[in-house]
Amino acid sequence: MKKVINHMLCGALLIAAGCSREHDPVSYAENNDNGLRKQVSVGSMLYDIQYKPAEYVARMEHLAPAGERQRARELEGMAWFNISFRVRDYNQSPLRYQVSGLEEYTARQDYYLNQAPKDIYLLYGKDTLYVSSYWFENNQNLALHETMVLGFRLPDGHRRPQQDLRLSFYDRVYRNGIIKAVIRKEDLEDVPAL
Amino acid sequence: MTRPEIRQIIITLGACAVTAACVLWYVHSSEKKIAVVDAIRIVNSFKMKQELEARAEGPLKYLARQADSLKGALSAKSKVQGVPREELETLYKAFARAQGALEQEYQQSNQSINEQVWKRLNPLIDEYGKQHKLRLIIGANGMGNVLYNDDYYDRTREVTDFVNKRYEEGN
Repeated sequence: MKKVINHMLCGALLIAAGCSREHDPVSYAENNDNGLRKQVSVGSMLYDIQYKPAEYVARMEHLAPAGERQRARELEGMAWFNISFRVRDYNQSPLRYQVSGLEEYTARQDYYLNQAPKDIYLLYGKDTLYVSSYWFENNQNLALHETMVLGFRLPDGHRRPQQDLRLSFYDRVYRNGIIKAVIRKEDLEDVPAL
Repeated sequence: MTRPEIRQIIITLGACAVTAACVLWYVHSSEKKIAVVDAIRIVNSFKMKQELEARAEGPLKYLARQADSLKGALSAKSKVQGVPREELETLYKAFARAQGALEQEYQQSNQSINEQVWKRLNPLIDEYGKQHKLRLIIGANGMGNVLYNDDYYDRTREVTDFVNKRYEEGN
């Protein structure tokens, strides 16, 4: 009996240890403690910068396991980010925040749809990488945030980032200056595999 | 003196020393801490300001070159005899417009940069003050609000390092 109890205790401990480590790339990347997500607050604006490892993007696409791995391989060679922004204590889209009229609203939309990539770059070691893939997810006021989806092509031979990633974004609409975020090399090493 | 008396004296002296240390520590920690910073040096050393100025430089240089070339053309044509007065006037008006555009762009860009820099600096300096338990930070700006301060109160270098580090790492 005692032996059985001992075995059960050992089993429970092993399960607890196994559960304590995150295996899901999405929850791992979205956990602020793991260093892949940074928040920058300027005035009433909150910028949420999410580094997205290939596994994160593949998992978010809800594919079959074999398809997930294939998709992750396709996404290699790039560094993917989301920059979301919202206004604290404001229950509408940030594009509507203190907007003077339709003209200004349209100008803001135009900036995020077409101009913003020119104001974003990524420092990768000694290289400056410019945006090579960009999409602005306009939420049409259905959510309290807006999101820019970005991809930077890594230098030849780099399938995954191996150095610190220093993202810089000059937000010309809200005149908040330059927003920066650093994703450390060490934090890129522990992303759970698919 | 007997041994118990000596022990009693030592204990009393020790207790006095501990009390004195506590009182000194309390007085020191409750002291109103003040720091003086050179506001102009902090603003000029703030990396975001330098980066914004570098970005603004391109359009300003373009406008300056336009004004320069019009000025050159005006100066050259005014030395040539026989150039119609109307042509010189048109050229002069174009030069004045270009110079006006340059000045306007310079002023707007300066104003915008200052606004953005202070929007970022103010909360960072607040944070520095709170972290270091300061009660007051005085910003000397060369306008006479601080006539003299020695190195004891000067924290310009520390504040500059703090704001730049926070900016580079994301805030």
